[in-house]
Amino acid sequence: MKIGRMDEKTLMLFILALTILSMIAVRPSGPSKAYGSSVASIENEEARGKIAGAYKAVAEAEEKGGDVSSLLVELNSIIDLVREAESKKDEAKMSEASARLDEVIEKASEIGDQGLAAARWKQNMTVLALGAELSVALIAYIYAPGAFWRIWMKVKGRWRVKAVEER
Amino acid sequence: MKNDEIRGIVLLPILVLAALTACQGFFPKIATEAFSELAILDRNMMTSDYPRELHVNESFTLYLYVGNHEGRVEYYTILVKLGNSSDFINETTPMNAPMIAVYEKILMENETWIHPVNLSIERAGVNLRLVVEMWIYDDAADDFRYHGRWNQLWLNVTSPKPP
Repeated sequence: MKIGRMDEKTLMLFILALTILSMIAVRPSGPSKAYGSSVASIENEEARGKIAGAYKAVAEAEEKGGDVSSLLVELNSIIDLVREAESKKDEAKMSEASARLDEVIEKASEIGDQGLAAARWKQNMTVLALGAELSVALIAYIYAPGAFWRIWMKVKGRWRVKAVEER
Repeated sequence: MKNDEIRGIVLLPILVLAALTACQGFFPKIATEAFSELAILDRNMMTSDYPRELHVNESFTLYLYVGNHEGRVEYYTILVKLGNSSDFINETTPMNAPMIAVYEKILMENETWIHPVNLSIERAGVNLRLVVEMWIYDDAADDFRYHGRWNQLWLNVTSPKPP
């Protein structure tokens, strides 16, 4: 059946081609390349840059393992304040927001350092706990059989062995 | 019972505990798929009673729902745009239509944000699209990037109510 074998081969090639084509068609598209600072609700470039800087500082602190929840509450409230200052053209509020942003950046660095210290402490504790567990394992390996038989002897040492009578 | 069997029975739970300790201590974060959520909710914070027919300048309330599961802190900007049925939008291209509102929020990992939005449409039209787009701050580019998440509502807006 030469023709039949040829058909099988063609069919296999066709399925393979279809599979490759479908994989190309459904492969996930990369991240969007549409950028735009015009999407920000804050028009004041200095304030926008400072907010971005504070956000980066907070994100870095979080990556180091710091608890940034209070900083985020503050940062979100500053964004609202800047928007309000912009809409009302209130210079006093704008400079208040700027000062608070400086504080956030400063605190973020401290919180990041605390996060790093906490991570180091946690790692040390893990090593200690692992060491303790492995020591217990070693002790168990050496002494467990002896201890087991001693207990067994204590519990069952006085037992008498009696042959069961055959019926 | 042999000595090796006794050792095995005693050592097994200790070694399992040690493995758990090592996993938790050295690999605390298990990598999962990163994603963000965006949704429009109706005035009752549900998904069943969206406005469809409106008058020009008639105010209506919606809620924006944003969820961060990107595995890190994210800085979101949510744009509300008003377009027509012919305006194009997909996962890579934002809609080229006038913005009618902008909202910004920085969210922690696994944090969600539900925000009320009061809007009104200033022009009449049939099959208008109220589109909500999600943009995310991109550290590398130092700019906001369209994140490919968007929702829409179809609206028919008729001339204002007579006084």
